[in-house]
Amino acid sequence: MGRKTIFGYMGQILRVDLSEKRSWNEELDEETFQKYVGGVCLGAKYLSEEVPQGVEWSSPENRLILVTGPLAGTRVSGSGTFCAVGKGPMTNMATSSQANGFFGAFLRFSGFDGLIIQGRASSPTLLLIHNSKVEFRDASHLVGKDTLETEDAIKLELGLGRKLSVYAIGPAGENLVRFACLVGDGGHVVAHNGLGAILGSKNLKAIAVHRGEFRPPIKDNNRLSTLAKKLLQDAKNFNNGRLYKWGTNGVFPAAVKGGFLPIKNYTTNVFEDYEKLTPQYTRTHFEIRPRPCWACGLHHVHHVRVTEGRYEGLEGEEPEFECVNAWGPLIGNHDPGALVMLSNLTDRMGLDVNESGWTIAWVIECFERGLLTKRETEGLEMTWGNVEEISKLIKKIAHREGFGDILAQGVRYASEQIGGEAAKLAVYTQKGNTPRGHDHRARWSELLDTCLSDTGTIEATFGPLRPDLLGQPPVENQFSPEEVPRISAMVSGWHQFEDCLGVCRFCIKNPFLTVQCVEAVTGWKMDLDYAMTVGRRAINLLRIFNLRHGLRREMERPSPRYGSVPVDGPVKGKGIMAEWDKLVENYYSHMGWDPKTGKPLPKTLQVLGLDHLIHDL
Amino acid sequence: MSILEIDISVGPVFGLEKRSPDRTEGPRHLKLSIPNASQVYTVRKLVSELSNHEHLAEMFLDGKARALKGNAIILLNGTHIDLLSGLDTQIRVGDRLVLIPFIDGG
Repeated sequence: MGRKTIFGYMGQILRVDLSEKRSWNEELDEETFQKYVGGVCLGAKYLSEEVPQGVEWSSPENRLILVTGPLAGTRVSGSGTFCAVGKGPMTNMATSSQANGFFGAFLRFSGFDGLIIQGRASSPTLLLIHNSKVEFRDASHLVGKDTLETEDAIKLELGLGRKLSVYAIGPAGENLVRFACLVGDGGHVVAHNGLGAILGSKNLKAIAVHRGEFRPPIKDNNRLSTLAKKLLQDAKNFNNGRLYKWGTNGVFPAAVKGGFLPIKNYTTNVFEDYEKLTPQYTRTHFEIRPRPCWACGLHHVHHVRVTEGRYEGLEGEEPEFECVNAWGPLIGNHDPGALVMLSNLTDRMGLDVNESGWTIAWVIECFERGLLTKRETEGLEMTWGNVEEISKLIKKIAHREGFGDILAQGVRYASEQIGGEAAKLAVYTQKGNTPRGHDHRARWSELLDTCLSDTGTIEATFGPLRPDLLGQPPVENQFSPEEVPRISAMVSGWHQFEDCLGVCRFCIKNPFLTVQCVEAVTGWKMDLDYAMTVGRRAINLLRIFNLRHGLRREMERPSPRYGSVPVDGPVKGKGIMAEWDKLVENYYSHMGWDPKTGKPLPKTLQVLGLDHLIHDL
Repeated sequence: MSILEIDISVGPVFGLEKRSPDRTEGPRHLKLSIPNASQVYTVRKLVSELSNHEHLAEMFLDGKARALKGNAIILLNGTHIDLLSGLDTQIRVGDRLVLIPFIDGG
């Protein structure tokens, strides 16, 4: 390409304007990569610079920014990941969501570190990227197909099979369901804050990337090889090897006993007869086989075939922990075969499983209490565990049919529309998004993070607080209004840095080895402080974007049900709202933000090299 | 000399496997006998005792400090100990403890 080599990078971003059916390459210099690294931080820079106040999520001026990072497409396990950034429909503020599979690696092999999509196509379009070339193809014949049908049809049409990575929207994205997602590589999902609806609003049915001939330049291949092996071994051993042995659902039995399983829309913390939903049961009774992502030796993702019960013979992706929660305890279902059915249906329709679960669980609770009747549900018997009726409602949401049209706006909007007692029962944040599929009332750090995050999902945390992984003392009290925000702020930045790298979080559990991998790839001198600074830069960029787009402190709260007091289980009687203001103000302070407004202080922005944004405040 | 016996449920349920049960998962239940225990026994003392049990130590204790891992949960008679007195919570004969080796992510 005749450019100066930047180790760890392809050195350019692909820009696509759908309105003009035009694309071009934009080169980036090494200084920019050193500052923003990739993924969420580079995406936040573009979002902040290119989507001004007043641009709505569905506007052609909104951006869909897909960025990899310096580890994508390398020998590091799980390095097919990419990060998607844009202004999302659920919050009408910034969003950042990651997906694994192959896309991130293939985008690099096609010559790009990232892809920015703007404008709106005049007709349904398939974007094909092939060895640095771009084609705008007609996708009219794909309209109405579900996400997996779309992927299969494109692969068949192009004859590229496994050498092609496809991410597509389903009926939900086409119909602008606000929690539509983007599904690709056989069931991986860009889940949160409605990124699939952004594609729908742009008339973009799918993006396909060919496994091209380019490869990212690596500064020290031998060092990377040694480190990648250590990192994989560490990931396999992490938490006594539970993820490696049992997948993400390995946490399920602990969630049952620990009180962080979401059960029947937060009406209880007790879930009996749960054993068949554990991976210890499903992975030894159903037929399963690994279905690893790019270069992944951890292969936590599996294909499953149901071998017993009502759904015997059904095949699809093994439900991950989030799917198990949404379509298990949250809706009162105990049948693992039904879990496979509902999880795969949700993916095929192109719906975020978290928002879908919270929305339908709310409908069921309202129905059981008589706040909704068959008149509103159009004949559906919405009782706990009635999986066949639930599957019908999922399809109605994706196609925005009848009652499904109200629900397609998400549970906050739907509950406000129904009003009265029903409005008090929905689980969401006052920004408009819903939490992951956990009962966060037993895990305050993640409840705080979900409400204060600027991504439309978690930002500072990922499961329990793990300061020990960063070389810091462990948490003494998980319900302390001083300790929880202090340690949350201390670790804040690490997970955002992970999302800059183009690699799956499950494969990089050791921060010190991870940073060394980036050093080996890029040749830069890097340490944990450098990494944390990049992560905090991303957080502050997104926060300032959100402040411009209407964020106010009163939005950083849970809904009444989300912040309610558990009536039973391990944290019975302990409510977070009594401490809420203290938690928020302490977190703001520790983040270097104004403790009353949550706005970053000038000094904080200066330290992060974001001086140019001070005038925004 | 007194002996304090505590039933410990090691969190997640195992033994549900249809084929090839994984023996490396360790015990599901354990009776821990502590000679010379005084009448007042705390969770903190229990945690220090775990270092004498290789499998439990690996699961629950930080490698260097031998402190309880930050991602572990302990329930005493069904209640999270952080809602009681944390590591200083007192344990008495007949109490039921659940130790949960927390797992990240999901």
